[in-house]
Amino acid sequence: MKVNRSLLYVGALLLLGLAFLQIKSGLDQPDNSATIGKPTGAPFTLTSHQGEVSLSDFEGQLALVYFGYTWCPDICPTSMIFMAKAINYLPENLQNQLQPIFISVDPDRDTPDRLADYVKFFEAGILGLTGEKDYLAKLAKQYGAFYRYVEIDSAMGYAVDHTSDFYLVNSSGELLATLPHSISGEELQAILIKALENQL
Amino acid sequence: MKFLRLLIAASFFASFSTLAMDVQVHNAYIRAVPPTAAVTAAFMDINNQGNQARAVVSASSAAADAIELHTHTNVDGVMQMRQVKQIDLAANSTTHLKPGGLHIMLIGLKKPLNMDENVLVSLKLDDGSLLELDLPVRKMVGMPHKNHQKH
Repeated sequence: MKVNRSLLYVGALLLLGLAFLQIKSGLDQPDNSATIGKPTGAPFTLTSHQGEVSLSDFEGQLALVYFGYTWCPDICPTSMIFMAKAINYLPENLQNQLQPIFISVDPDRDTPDRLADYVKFFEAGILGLTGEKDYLAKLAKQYGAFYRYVEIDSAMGYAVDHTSDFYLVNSSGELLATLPHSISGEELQAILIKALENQL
Repeated sequence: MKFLRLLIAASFFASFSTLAMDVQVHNAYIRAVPPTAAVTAAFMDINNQGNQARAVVSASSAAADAIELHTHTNVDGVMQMRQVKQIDLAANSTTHLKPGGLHIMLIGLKKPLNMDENVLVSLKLDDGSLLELDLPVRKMVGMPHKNHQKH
């Protein structure tokens, strides 16, 4: 009988523990669902080589945003060339309605000056921006972009694993479309033209 | 004795040159990058005409502080770049080093690479042979546009 009672205590404690875990995971949930939930986009203020730039500076225009880093030898430059091409193929009256933006999520290596030289190379008026790490992490999440710093066995030190999508937003930071980098040039152009014409 | 030595030398040379001929590189180039970029990549098709599998085990170049064999994988939309120990060259086939996949990574460029400049890169194979490559620096034209000829 005594044994049974102590077993009961153990059982009760276990139940309590389980209940606590349940509550804890329940409390964690809103945070998790924020990452799983549909990204909405967000306004932002970041740093260019000429100082602070806000999305709201581009009133009446749309922005095409890409998250990457310049130590990326392949995916990022390919995406930048793709972006440049899509813009250069737009009808002339729409070209200045769209601001392409490259946001570096690697501010330790990508200074604003370095970024400015980097984006200039692609000859499409791309704006190179970066900011504080915490700010970038939150912003990327709001756009549905994912990245992480990964120590790799390489002279690079670390690499940045990242999604490679283009985000079409208006100047209030409202996300209009997420376009994967695997999209065809025609598709991208059609979406851009439609969105820009609606904007006019 | 002297004749034997010559014969050994000759056969060694012959086998070496055969090996070297088995593996050939085509369509090789280095991606032109912005002048401030610290890294770039070389892409190429490596054709192994031999009946034996080979592998690229290392690469070297005076143009960069380090040169490594890398690959990209797309894991659920997340692009991951990692160093690989070797690039396998299956017998009688062509291995493609291309954007979005395998590449030779140049890290810490000693000076900006100018367009149409050539860069010497040597690849070491698992049999000890070297492939000396003179690679042009080229600007990429971007991802394939469907119906590209229309534009």
